[in-house]
Amino acid sequence: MRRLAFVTLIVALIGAVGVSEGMAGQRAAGKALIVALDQSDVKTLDPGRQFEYAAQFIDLNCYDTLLASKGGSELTTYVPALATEWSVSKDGKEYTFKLRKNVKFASGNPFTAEDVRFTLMRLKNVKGNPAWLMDPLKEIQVVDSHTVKMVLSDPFGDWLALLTGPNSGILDAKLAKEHGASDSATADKDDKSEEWLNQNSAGSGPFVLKGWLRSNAIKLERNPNYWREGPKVARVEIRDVPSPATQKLQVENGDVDIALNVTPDLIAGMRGNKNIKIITGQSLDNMYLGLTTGAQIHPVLAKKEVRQAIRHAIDYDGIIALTNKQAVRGPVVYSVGLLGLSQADADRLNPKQDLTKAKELLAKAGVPNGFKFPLRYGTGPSPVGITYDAVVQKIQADLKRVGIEVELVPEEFGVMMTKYRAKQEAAVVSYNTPDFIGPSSWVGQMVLHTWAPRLHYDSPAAKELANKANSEVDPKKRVALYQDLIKLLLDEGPYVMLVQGKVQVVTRANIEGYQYFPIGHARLLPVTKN
Amino acid sequence: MINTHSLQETRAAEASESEWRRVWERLSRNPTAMSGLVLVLGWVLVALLAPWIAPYDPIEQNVMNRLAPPSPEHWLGVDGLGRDILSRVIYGGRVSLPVAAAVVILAAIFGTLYGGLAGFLGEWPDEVGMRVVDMVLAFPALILAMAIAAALGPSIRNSMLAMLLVWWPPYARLARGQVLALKASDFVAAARSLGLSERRILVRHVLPNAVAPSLVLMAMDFGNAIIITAALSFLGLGAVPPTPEWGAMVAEGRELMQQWWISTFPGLAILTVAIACNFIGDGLRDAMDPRLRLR
Amino acid sequence: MGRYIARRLVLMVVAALGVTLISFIVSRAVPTDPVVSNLGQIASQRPEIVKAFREKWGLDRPLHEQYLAFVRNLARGDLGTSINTRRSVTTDLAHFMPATIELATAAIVFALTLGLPLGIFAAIRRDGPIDHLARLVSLIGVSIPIFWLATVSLVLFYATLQWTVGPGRLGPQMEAPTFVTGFYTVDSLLDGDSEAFWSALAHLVLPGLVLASSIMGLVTRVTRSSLLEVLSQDYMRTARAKGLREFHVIARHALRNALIPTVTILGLAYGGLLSGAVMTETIFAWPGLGRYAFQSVITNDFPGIMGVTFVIGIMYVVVNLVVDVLYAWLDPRIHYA
Repeated sequence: MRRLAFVTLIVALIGAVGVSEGMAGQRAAGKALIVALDQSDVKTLDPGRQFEYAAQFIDLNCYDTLLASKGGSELTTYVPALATEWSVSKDGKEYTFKLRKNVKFASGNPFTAEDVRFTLMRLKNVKGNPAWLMDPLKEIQVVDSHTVKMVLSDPFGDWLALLTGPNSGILDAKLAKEHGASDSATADKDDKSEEWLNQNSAGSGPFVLKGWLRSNAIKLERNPNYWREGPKVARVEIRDVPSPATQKLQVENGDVDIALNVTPDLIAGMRGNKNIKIITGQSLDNMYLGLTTGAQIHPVLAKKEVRQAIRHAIDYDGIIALTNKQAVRGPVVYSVGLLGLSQADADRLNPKQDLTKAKELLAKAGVPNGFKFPLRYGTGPSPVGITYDAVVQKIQADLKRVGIEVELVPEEFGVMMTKYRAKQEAAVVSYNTPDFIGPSSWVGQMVLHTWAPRLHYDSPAAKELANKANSEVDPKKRVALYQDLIKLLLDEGPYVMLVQGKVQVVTRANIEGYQYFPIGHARLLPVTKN
Repeated sequence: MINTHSLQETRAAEASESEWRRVWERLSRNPTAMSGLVLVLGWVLVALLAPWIAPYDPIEQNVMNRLAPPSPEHWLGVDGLGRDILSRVIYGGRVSLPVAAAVVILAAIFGTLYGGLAGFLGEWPDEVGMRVVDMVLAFPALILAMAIAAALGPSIRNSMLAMLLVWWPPYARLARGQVLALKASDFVAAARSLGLSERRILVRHVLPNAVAPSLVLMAMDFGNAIIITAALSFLGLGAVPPTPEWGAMVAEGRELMQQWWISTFPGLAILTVAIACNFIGDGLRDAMDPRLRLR
Repeated sequence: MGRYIARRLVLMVVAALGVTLISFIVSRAVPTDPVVSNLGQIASQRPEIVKAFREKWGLDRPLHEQYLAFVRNLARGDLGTSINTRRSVTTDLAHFMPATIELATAAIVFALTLGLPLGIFAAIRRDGPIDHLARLVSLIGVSIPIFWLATVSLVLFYATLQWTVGPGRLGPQMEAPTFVTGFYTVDSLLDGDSEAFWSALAHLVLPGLVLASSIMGLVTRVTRSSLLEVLSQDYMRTARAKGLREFHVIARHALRNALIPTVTILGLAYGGLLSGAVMTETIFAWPGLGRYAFQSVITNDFPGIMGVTFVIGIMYVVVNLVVDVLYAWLDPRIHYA
């Protein structure tokens, strides 16, 4: 007994000493920028293979693209980055870029047109998750050491948008090849650089990747050879913290400088805290309700009046309230902030809740007393700050008021997605996040491929409009075409757009310069820690 | 020669019948156990009378008033969709209690019998039996739960099935351990020397004594079982929303620290039921202990 | 005994393999297609991307071939490559397992040193104040959902009272020690980095206590209950009649026999902790086996699932073997053929 008590005492002592020592070590922490980010979805940091939120963040900061989005409310306006000027041919198929001179990669290797060619061909040929981004590209020619010409198979209005994404970050071809990278036609088998690129970056961006301990932390360091004025912070440590509540505690305590995943409900409780700042940005992520148009799946939902009725039955303001007002209505086609679609436009175009109209439409469709349908959704969080669970229960309650009975079918997210892709669902609630910042990303998914076939939506009129708008290079003409498409989709389409999220990031009060960017979270170049 | 054999048996038979009566007598004289019993019965009553005592409809939403703290209109506050928490707690028992009871009791019965038998038979039935237990223990219950959810659909019955399949091994291990010790003990040797058959020894003498730690585990498992149903709802199993269920309610509030009432009140419900069950379990163990020792 | 252990070890491999087979079969019932979790919406519609993906991971081969390939590789000591992390499962496990083992061990140590004495005293001074305290403490630990306890303890001890360090294995901006065993406590000592050692130790305290709370209650109760039984037996009366001091009586005679159920519970608990506590790991940002296993399952990462299942299977069997050996040591009347 005495021995046992002795052991207990020793353990307690060790614990206490350890704790105080550990805390002392922490307080002496240096000037690195600490970011808390949920990295559970990250599979790789290779810009030719990654397509996950957190990985985009790393690549956005370690690699440069030819041109960059202006950001803020001008997402589809571009400024020069590694390219100083560019021009498009009249037929919209040829793009010529003049590249910036005297730029060095972090390794010291000079940046030339060959690096551009290598990067884009590798992206296409490695056949990874983002390879399809390079689909429009037919061939790419190195005209001289600082001029590149890209030839597309067909005109594509969003080609420049594709080039601004982190996947198009230009690789240091020489360095990458030394570590097994390949751009050959069989690069999916020949390229062996993935593991090296997971631990190092081969770019020209303001930061350099210094290591990735999975589920633990990613470390970045300032690039000493950066071609512009370099970042203010010397080191960045991005810790994997999957729980939003824990991130909140860490940023309040000062152990973390920037917390990227804190949810709106948690943030609501943080207002008034002088040690932190809340930075809000408009995300492009959407949550939508997809209803099938296939009569063989659900004959009632296949009637377009029924879908219109549902659009008018939903209490959109209520759903926005669920997000603690950290969301806005998403318009029918692409997100607010893109190509001439402002918040005012969205407000004008979007269906309003009107229960009488909904009931009228149901009567017109032959189901005045309502009907039943199953609604599938994934358990877990969504990118718009609330769970699908909360939203579907709200939808269920709303539709009940017009006599429609919704049967909720929760499923683990991966299971739901598999069934959805198998085209068997009558109704789903799912999300959309842009693959690149161009309207054709949404339009493609809604009308041409992806969601449309899953919901059996096959409309020649919509497809024609979509293709015309996507390949149109003149922005004004594009906007007009998209507006026509919106009207068409509101009439017969299978989508009920619910909300488009705002993103709130919490930083310590002494952090300046953080600005939210829809793909890749933010550029850390201008961020300072005082 | 007097047939000591059948005399012994008759005495044993008489003993075991009045046994249980004596257990109950002792139990009823134990104040904590009785208070536990009262508490559990109280919750059962609340769950049964839910439609009459709940102030609001548990699934009625009021999104504009979401996350409101406790107030005179809503004594326990309101959740993320504006539903009254008091009503949801009252109704929640209707799902949480029977599910937890069924899982724990069935798993305990099966596990104890399985483990007791394995330990008693010894040698290779014991070996194989325990390796199977190891395998079930090591099996990722997660996959099982997801497979069941995908194949059979989300429902509270299916989540019970998933839980049952993986809940019994600890009881088996416990029972086997006890039986191993008992097998080597004096009174079993005595019973054998009296010529009692193996089966009789197992059923009448060994098993009842092996049961005590299982009882303790059962009592503590009850609260746990309710909590696991919350984890299962993440996988698409469990009570289909918007049906209220205590475990799922606690889970809903897990990331919301400011709005403590969302997790706390269903948590308290689980806690009181768990404590009550523990008191009962303790009382049972105390009541059974000296009684079952056939001297 | 030696032959017994050897035989058990052989059966161990069989048992672990058995689990992988069952996992493989059952995970087939989960309709999540790995393509869904790895390829985006558009990529999954491009046949050449999907084909490249399936070929790379052997998903285009028939089921039994996939499983056999796994077993064949296993015989060579290769657990395959995880689809999620794109590196060998062995490397993944080498990183995540030590983290979990460290945490699980901390939890067991806490549970033992706090729970065992409490249970013993509760039995000796039955119905006294200590008994009631033990009851209360054990109940609270077991009846509270662990994810809630984890969050609340962080809020209370880390944020509000600032008595402990935060989540994670090490403090911010600290370098992980050179990888030798994967245990930060051991590796930092090997590095001679005392700051890292104390930090690693400090970070084990809160999550360890949280995990321990759920086991401690059970340890206390089972010990108490079992000790009470033993204390009332004949040979205890004999020992007391011999004139031995009460303490001696208990320590020497009662405790060893009473500990059998306790050891069972601890073994089960340790096994359970080793398979990783997803919720606790998530809240404490602990890069352990629990999160890895969870991610593998929901994305249907077959190599990951198989690897984790196999390793956990082995660990359970080993732990149970240790427990069984302890039985024999505690109670010499127990012997194995």
